[in-house]
Amino acid sequence: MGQPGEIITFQVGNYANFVGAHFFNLQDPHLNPEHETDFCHRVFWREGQNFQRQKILTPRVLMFDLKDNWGNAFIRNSNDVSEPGIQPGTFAKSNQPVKQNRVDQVEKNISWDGKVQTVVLRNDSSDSDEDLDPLPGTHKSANAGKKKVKLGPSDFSSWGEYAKWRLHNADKAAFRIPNYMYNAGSEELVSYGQGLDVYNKIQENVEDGIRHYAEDCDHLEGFHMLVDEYDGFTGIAGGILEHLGDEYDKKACLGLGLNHPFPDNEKWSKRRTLKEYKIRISNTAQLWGSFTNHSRVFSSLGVTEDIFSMNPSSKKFTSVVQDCTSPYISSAILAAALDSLSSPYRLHSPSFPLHEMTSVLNAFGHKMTIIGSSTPFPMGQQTLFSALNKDGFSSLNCLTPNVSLDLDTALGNVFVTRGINQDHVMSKSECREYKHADINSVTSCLELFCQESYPRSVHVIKNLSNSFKMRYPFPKLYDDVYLDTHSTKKQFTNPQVPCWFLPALTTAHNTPGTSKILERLISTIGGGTGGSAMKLKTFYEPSSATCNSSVVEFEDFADCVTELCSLKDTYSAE
Amino acid sequence: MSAISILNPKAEFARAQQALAINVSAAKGISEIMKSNLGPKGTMKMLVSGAGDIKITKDGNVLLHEMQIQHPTASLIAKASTAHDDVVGDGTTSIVLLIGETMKSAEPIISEGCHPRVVTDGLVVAKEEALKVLESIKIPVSLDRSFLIDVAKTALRTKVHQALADHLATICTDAVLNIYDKENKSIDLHMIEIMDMQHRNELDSGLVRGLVMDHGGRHPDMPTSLTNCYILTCNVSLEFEKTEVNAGFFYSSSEKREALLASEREFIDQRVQKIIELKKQVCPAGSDKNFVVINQKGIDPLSLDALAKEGILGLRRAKRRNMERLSLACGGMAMNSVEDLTPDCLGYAGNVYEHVLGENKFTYVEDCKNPKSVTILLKGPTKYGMVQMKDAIRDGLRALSNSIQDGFVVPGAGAFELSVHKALEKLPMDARSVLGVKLFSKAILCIPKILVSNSGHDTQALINRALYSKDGEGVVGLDLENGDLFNPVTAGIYDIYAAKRQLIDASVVVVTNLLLTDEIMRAGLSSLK
Repeated sequence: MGQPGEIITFQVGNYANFVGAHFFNLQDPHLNPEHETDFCHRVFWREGQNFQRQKILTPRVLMFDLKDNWGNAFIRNSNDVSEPGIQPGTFAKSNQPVKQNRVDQVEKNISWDGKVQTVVLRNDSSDSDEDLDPLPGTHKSANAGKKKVKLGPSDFSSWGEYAKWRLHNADKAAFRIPNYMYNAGSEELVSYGQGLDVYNKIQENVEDGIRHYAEDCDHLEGFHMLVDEYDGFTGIAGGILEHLGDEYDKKACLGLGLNHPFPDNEKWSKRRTLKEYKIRISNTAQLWGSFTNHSRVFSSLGVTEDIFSMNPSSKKFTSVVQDCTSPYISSAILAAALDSLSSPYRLHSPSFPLHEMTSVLNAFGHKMTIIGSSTPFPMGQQTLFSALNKDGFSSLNCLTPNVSLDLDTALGNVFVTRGINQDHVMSKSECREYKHADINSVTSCLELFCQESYPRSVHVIKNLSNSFKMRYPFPKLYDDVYLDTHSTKKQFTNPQVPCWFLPALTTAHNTPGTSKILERLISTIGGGTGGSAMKLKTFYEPSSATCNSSVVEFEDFADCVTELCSLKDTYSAE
Repeated sequence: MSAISILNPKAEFARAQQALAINVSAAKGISEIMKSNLGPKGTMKMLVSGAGDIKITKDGNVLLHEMQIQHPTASLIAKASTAHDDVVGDGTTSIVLLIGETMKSAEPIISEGCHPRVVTDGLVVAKEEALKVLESIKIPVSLDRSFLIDVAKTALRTKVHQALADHLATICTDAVLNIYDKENKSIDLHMIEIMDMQHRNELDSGLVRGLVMDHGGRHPDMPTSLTNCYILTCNVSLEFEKTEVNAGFFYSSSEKREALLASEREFIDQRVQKIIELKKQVCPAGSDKNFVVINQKGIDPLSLDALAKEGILGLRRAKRRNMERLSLACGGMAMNSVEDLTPDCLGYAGNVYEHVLGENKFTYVEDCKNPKSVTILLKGPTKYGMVQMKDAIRDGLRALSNSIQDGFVVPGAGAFELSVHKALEKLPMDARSVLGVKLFSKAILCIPKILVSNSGHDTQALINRALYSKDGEGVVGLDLENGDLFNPVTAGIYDIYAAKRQLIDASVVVVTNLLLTDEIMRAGLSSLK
């Protein structure tokens, strides 16, 4: 098959940028050099030169966020910097007076009583592993060499503070959306129509940004589209998707709608009114409508219990010890799943490129897929064989809200496992007991298990030897005991920064169960056969009142719901 | 108590005097802000965004768009004055100033108990007269280059400093003259591409009679400079793309899959071969002719390799807009398939070369035979400077296209406003409209006054000379350089006819509406927050 194809990522919306920041942190080429892993960074990263003619890798991403959410992130481009791999996050707030009392408070809480020394920025990429992150959970600052300390998730209220990568050409790839033209008070982009209106204004620059990346690619494989599902960024995504459909119709596009559990604070409480609710649901519907039209496969992700409730609260994960309502934490869970799911097509010689994965998942026109993840895959000291025999896939958390992973009825399943040691597949005694079973690898073990448990579905199983590495600034989602039990290896790149190597399992399913979430959406907004135009209008009107109503007309809105209905029908046809 | 509060107890309202005061203070406020930016000698404003981006400008349109105007009346004035900017491209600041001044002078009259209707009726009479003056002093436009350069200069000098303005004026004029369609007498400004290149100095900006693209050949063996070129513009995928429909499910064996992929590859190779055949046909071995392919879709490394072996320069993923421009600049047509390629489809350019700037490559397509599309290449050391230039060029081009399409220009340097004042003073009128006419005649003087005061000369002395002395007879303008009077036509200062018309129309309409407002109420549906 030859070379892996390049993928362009879109991060549309504030939460999408949270997820994206984690996603690219996890892949950081400076921490995962190509000779140590099987990954080919060229897929998501673009090779460039800085002014010193050194090779640098920067993510091939186009980002959209409100002006105020950027802070000072990415004001400088990668080629302004003398050192490769310098941490952009360190600049994030350096020009602003950091809230001093908070810093003091944090400094008191550090369990480090040794001497605190000034940290000089790395000046050579070769020893990048050694002197990154001098203390666990601390963040060094370039501000006149003076040390500022950041600790814990509450500190990262903006993604720019922990994103360790930077853009190559922020002028072309970073779109700061001014917001005053619509909602001077709330400073947010509320509805799909507003988003589309904003897109029409920046269209030329966006298209140029996409073209700029695409022109650079030898084998453009496709697009990853991370979009906030609840606010006006859906409209921007809708505009981009239409353009992709026109210009890059042969390329695979994986759409991911992202949901944020609503934390209990004032900023979010005003989103709980009926009007906001209706706007939110109609945003979701319109985003899914344009995903249906223009993407190969899409999914909805979120650590949210029920996205159709007035108050989408966070899901409970048994082992996660952190507060999932924090965008920094919840986005990490989603990014981990995305990192594993995308790993088969990030290999040097991908056996399973994006377009093949999408074609498995969208067979029979089932464009919506369900994604599940188990990071770490809790094997403990057991072998894979016994772990599967005992618990099956019960450790999988479904990351698509409002549905369950219904493997019994699934038509096609994609399993990506990583970091499971070949020696841990079967113990010697098990080998003797099940001699007839032809198990000699992780793949064959899973294959056999799947075939026996779910004989009706098609299974695609991809196993990678690279573990999922949980290290700062990825949040420590679990407690030490849990991590030590399930990790295969714990490594200190520096005496204080632990890095856990975790086995992981991520899955994506083509299943009729998806129709449930679609049906729920359609019945909520009153579409479909049992629906009424009156009800549909009550969802259209608050949303259209926020913008120039000619941007999205009622007919467009109704068409989009019809589109979703026919998508739903493809699931029941079988 | 207002009647509205019986109907809607939550309504907020302001009545009569109070309503007028709100409107007047908004109009005064916004014109105070813009006052110092008027004219070639006006000062600049620095706009800092929330993220720290900086924009330095004195373009009224840009200012009004970028400032967060929250006052409803002020925002109405801003919208009214920028509404026609897309078409006219100039005169925004003047409109705001004239509205402000008229409102200011109307306030005491209405406060004394005069009904606003009396004032507005007079304003309409004044407007009619002003438009008559406009018709009487307008000058027909010729397509003469130096004349048009003067028109562009006047528009540009109010946006950027003089040396740069004069340089850009020449560029704009040449660009517009190049794309002017003499048969249909039409100008499509989209056919002028504006490219920016962060490089050297503002004064190195220039006009390329052809096209500049922001990408280059992606193969090390491709030629970087060619002369005497045939240009093939096409929208054909020369990239190996995988079959899409459920491929994962339906291969029965890996051999079949390989075979399918091989046939796909061959399909692409055939397309490349077709292009190479055409090249061989039009550029026989030994001739000095060359071949360039500009494709809107992708070209993968294997195809690039094949093209490079033949000495063809291949550019991939060209801008969609550029495809249209290419065929206008070089001739030929954009091809959507390689099936029926003939030499007729090809365009021609005398010179195609690549310019590398750091990491960025630019490809120039120059020396076209009869370019109907040109590129303005802006250079400059700083980003904010280029943004400034871009805004200025945009206005300069519009000024030119408007004056060519109107067929007339108006003497500039305040000459029009002074003439209107003089005409209104002499106008015989009935008692009812006298208040409005006098008011407008006084108000319109604010523009020449501010022009003079912005350039640091004695306002009263110069304006009085222009109005009441012997030098001031006929059409005179204000020489802001020397603080003297001159004839704007001999000095080559022309304003846009449409902009002046717009100035009179828009300001009278807005002022009339604002003065006739006797009650402001916020009683609509509660806002959406």
